[in-house]
Amino acid sequence: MPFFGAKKEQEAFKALARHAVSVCETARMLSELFQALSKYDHALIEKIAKKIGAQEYEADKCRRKFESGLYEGAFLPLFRSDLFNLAERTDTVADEVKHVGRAIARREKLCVELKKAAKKDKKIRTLIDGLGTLAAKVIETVERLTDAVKALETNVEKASVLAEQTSKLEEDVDVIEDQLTRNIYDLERSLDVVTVLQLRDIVMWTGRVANWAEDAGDIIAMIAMKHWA
Amino acid sequence: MIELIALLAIAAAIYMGWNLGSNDAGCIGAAVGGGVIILRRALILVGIFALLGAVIGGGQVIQTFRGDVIPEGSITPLVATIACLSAGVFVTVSTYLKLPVSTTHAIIGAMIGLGFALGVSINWGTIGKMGIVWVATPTFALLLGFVIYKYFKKAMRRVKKPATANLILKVSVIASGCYLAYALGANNIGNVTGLIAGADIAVPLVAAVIGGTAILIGVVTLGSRVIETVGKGMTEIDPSMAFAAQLSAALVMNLFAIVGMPTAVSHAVVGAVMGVGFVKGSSAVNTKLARNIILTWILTPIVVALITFGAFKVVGLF
Repeated sequence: MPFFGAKKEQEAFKALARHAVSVCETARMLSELFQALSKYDHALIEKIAKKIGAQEYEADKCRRKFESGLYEGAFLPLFRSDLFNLAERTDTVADEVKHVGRAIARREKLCVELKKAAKKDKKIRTLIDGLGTLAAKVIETVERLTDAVKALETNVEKASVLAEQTSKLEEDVDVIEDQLTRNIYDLERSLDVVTVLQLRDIVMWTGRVANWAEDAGDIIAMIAMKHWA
Repeated sequence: MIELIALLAIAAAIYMGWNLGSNDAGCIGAAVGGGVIILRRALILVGIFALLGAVIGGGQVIQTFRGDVIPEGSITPLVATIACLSAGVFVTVSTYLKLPVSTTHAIIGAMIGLGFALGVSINWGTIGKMGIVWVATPTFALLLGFVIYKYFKKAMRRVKKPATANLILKVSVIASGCYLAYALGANNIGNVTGLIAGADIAVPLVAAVIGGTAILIGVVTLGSRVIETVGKGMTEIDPSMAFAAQLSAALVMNLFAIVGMPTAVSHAVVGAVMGVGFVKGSSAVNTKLARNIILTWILTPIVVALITFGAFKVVGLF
């Protein structure tokens, strides 16, 4: 049963959840992005990178709306600062996805180099598939974070459990990221140095998306600890 | 001439009330410091609730001051004026020197001084009861603070929705702050206008209205300084702690107002904050603070008694 008068606060939580969903939509585009890379289709990559940018802008708008509502006097300052930090950190997830999109789209030669190398070395294909696996795990991490933010509206304990799961998923991402980086360095004979470095950066930035999601999850865990422990 | 003296006595009581309002407005300081409520609103709430407390719940304490310390017939407008001014000036100077003194202790000291100066019988039984109440105030507040905070936290854990918890905390902190202001008015109104009621310058209800209004003026004119100081000093106190501490202090103050025993709000708050701290596992009692409280308990009545005695003798020369 909603507590009398908590409408403003509930509204703020709904806005926070809308922002998280928007961020999650941005992260889901990583899947399309890496699929386009696996097809060596630079034009499609550019198109998706632009779509990611537009979606990230939408997430930004949601964040701003949430933050302006947050300062209309509905929350205790202690709580307000935690929620503000949560929105900011969640938003960084979308920012990082945008960076990944740009990092791939920026160099047209990447697709050419990968396509050329794949013909000579079968391991290139395995590496590209690995990038897809990494993206899928990162998306799963962000989805779990989104569930945690949504749960914050109704049940802080559930939100805390989901935040913990976000952290565990991020550990899985770390493992995949480490393995992929090793694979990239193993392929330095098949790829030119710039491509190796570019791929390393792409893997690193994609992994960072999950890192930010974990950080946002940590804020949720902290909210639970501070107010209900 | 008599009327002028009566007006002087009322002015002295208003001065005492203004003193009390400006010093003890900090009862909602935790809510301001925690950003739950803005300063201007806090000042208005404290002022209004202190006035309400004085008018609705201050009768018993005023009665104690009328005739339970020194005989009622011995309190004249001149006597009331000297006592209020002696206690008031002592509190003003102490506040200026940043010494944590209580208006309650000061006015009781003034009445003891008067008793000696007038050569009338002092009701040491009542004074003794007050001494017990002054010790019981922080002790009861500590115990209540411990229990209320413990169970409030337990209850809050059952609230799963953060938005609901946020609202409950906000309302609790403001409501308990208002209740503390009410209890302050009810318990301490005797300090302000007990003597003018004793001198038959005003009936208790009118005395309570005059005193309550003086407290309100004190809160509105100078209370902001105290509220901000208390607020800043309580930044480590979360809303649940502020609620438990304010409610505990208010309950103790109100209880003693009902039985007509004046006591110090600052001591109630300090005791309650310590009680809340014990739940948090803070075993370190601020020994400097405890020593200051005990020192002011003993010194304030003695010093004000001497000032009042001296002032009465000097006035007697004319």
